[in-house]
Amino acid sequence: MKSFLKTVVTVLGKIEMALCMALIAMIVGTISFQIILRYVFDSPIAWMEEIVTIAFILLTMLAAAVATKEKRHILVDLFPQGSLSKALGVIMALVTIATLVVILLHVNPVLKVEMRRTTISLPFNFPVAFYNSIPLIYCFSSIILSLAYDVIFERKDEQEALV
Amino acid sequence: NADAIDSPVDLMNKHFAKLVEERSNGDIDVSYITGTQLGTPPQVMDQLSAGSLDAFGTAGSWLTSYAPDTNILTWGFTFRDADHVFNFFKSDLFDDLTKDMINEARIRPLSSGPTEPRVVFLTEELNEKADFSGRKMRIPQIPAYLSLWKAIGAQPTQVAWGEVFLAMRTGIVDGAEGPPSAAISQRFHEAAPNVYMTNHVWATSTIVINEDKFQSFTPEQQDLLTKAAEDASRWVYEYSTERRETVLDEMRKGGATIREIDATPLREAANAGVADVEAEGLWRKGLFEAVQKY
Amino acid sequence: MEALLLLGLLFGLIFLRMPVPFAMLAASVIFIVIQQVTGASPLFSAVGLKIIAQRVTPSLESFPLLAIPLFVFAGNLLNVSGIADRIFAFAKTLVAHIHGGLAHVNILASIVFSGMSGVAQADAAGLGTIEIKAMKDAGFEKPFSAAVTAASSIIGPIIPPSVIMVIYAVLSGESIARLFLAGIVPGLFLGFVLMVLIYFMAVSGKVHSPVAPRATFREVVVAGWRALPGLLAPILLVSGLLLGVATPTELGAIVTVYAMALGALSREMSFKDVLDAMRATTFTIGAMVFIIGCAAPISWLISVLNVPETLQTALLSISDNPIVLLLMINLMLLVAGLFMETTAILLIGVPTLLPLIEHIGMDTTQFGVMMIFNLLIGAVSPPFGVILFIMMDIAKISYGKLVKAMMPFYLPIVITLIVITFFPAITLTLPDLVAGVSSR
Ligand code: NA
Ligand code: NA
Repeated sequence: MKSFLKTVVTVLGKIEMALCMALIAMIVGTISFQIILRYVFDSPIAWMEEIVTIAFILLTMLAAAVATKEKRHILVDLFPQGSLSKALGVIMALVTIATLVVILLHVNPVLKVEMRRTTISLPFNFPVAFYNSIPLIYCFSSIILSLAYDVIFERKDEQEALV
Repeated sequence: NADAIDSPVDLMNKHFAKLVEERSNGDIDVSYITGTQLGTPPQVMDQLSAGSLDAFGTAGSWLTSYAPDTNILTWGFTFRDADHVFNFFKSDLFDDLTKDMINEARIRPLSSGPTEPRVVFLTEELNEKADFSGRKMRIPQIPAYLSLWKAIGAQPTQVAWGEVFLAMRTGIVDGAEGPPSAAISQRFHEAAPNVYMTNHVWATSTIVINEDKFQSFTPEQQDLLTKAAEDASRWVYEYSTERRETVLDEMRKGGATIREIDATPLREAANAGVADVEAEGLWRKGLFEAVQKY
Repeated sequence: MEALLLLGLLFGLIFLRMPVPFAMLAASVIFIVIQQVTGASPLFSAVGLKIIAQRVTPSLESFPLLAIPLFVFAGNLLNVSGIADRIFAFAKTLVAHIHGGLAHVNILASIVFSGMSGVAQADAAGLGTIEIKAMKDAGFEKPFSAAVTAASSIIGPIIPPSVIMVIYAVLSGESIARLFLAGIVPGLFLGFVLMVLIYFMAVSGKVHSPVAPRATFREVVVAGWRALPGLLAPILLVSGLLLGVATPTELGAIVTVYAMALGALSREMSFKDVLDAMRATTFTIGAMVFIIGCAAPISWLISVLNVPETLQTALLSISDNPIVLLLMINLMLLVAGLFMETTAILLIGVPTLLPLIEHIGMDTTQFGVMMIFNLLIGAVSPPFGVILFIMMDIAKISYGKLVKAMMPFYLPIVITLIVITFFPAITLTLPDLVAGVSSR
């Protein structure tokens, strides 16, 4: 069970990281392309901005999931490393899991609303949910999974105050 | 609210809140939230639809989020004058356009109305033929605007509202358009002193309410709310008309030249574009024709 | 009252070692649940917990925010391109012979580097490592070296590009280009007063500062030539802003492509380095941009609770003198900066304070620079200054020693804050010059 879960979390993390890197490349490429279109060909494409904005939201949500797995979230470390700080780490991970679960339990009405509204300038109809609540659901689920894995199997929790 | 503090829409909302509280003798308590921190207007529409908020006063163009046919509001020269706008909003046709929005998205328009027509700001003067071809124009990211300005011959360019002033100053765009009262707070007239009274689109206002919330009121209260909203719409129209003159005067003092313009070539270009956008499905076929009857 | 509960929850959770973004979400959830259970405010029984999911991602739907990943990525590329070394070497030929020696070099290099890098931490960690090592090798005391590096790293986010300014601009509706331009003079000013302080510390013998022989003209030219691509980047960026070649977001993409070309041409950057820079960027986005999303439900709640109005009334009841008000706001921001994370305060503070700032008629660009400067002071001050933590780590010194060595540096920093607060010209002259108008 442990090794299976570990594989799942590790593979997920790798996929998420790869997607993030692809999205960063895509954002840089698209915006540069748009600048060339404007200055060289004098005809920018109006919906490019919307596409990269969507990519940015997906990137942030995936990157947040990656940052959780790699323990890169910003935290303020007041207590000396020791059993107290370890215990706090576990308790706070549990509170975080509970919080994210509660939010996910209330996401359904939001999803419904966002399926009904579509993007503005894209040449095709694209429900807002695909870049709002759906990435959120994925991101939170992935975070819950990796936090739960840490709490159950890796009580070591040698987290440093990272920035 | 999702507009700047003390903008016409913000004042309309405050007026509406005051009317409701006065007329219901405090039975209906409105807690009004001002400023732009709740989200962008389409996002606030989502919050209203989900019931996170009860009511929302905004520009009529945001109705397009849930009633796509209202795209016609932002097309050029759809309306002859303010009365035409008022009549359209009271018509059965408008009720029909927003039917799905009420039943499915749970958003009911209580009342809507015109505020003031939009005008054009250009860094360089127009030639005698009032030819927009090749001009880089900053326009909002709304499909009807994009199609309209392409139909007129200009080159629509995306710039965030807060960056427009510098974009015009530095030549990223050659001009922008908008209602004078909103444009003056961004000092459009200083960067682009050639102001043309094209009056190409009537800016509108609307007050919408969550349908479930609305149905929770007694019929008397519902009437009261609707009446208050209608009065607020009328009030903001009169306020905007009055303020427009002051604003234009201020722009003149700031060195701008306000020019009347024969908009016929623009109107013709816009009218000629209607068939295309109706074919694209921006709004239902024949709607432009139908709106003209009111 | 409810607002205090909300902020108390947030602060408490952060204090108990919960990562900042999760603390923000948890505070919102617990707050709404408490309101619903006690029924204290009927408003929240209707709002419900769905509002949280309805704010996190939508608040990121903003094209200007895209400047953040771009500038962070550009900064990471520059860090692996070897340009920081060259900039340091060039600065050394210019000022290492003045009393204070490499300490001046440290500051000058930060000024140049800040023209490319968008976050203080990148400056502190990337260039800082080079600076501290060089100063140690030259015989400077470690705590002093670390303190100079920490103090000068706050120049980074004041001189454009600046990620934190992008966040402020998006929150306030202010123009990014205008803010960027407004930061240039205060950033140079801070560099100047820091150098003045170091000069006097060196002359009075308070610090041991070995001085290098004056570089020959030939050495200056050679070092300058090697650093030229690095010197050109800020010039490109600032002229891009001045001439309006592209929007700030697009400039981010241009700087990124430029940094990649630079690394490729100098042959110091491999494809693997680019991938590493992408990974580092992903971590920064996951940590920092995610906070922007997670703060949105709290800002929503603060709006609904009418906190800005309450605060405005409260402060105005104490005094309606703009000078007194500004001093109070500065004090509040300073204290908040000491105890909380920079981005978090910005996200909550801007919507809360902006109505008051507009009420007293202060320019929102000037206020932006002032607020950001305040928060940066927090980042280099005890107890929770993130930059101090980074310095401790790089220089391998104790927190106490570093804080003691920092003490003299707060004087020029606070002088700069006062100048920014009470002399609008230092921030507004440049943007107004470009715009060609007197300020609003
Ligand atoms: Na910078
Ligand atoms: Na430095």
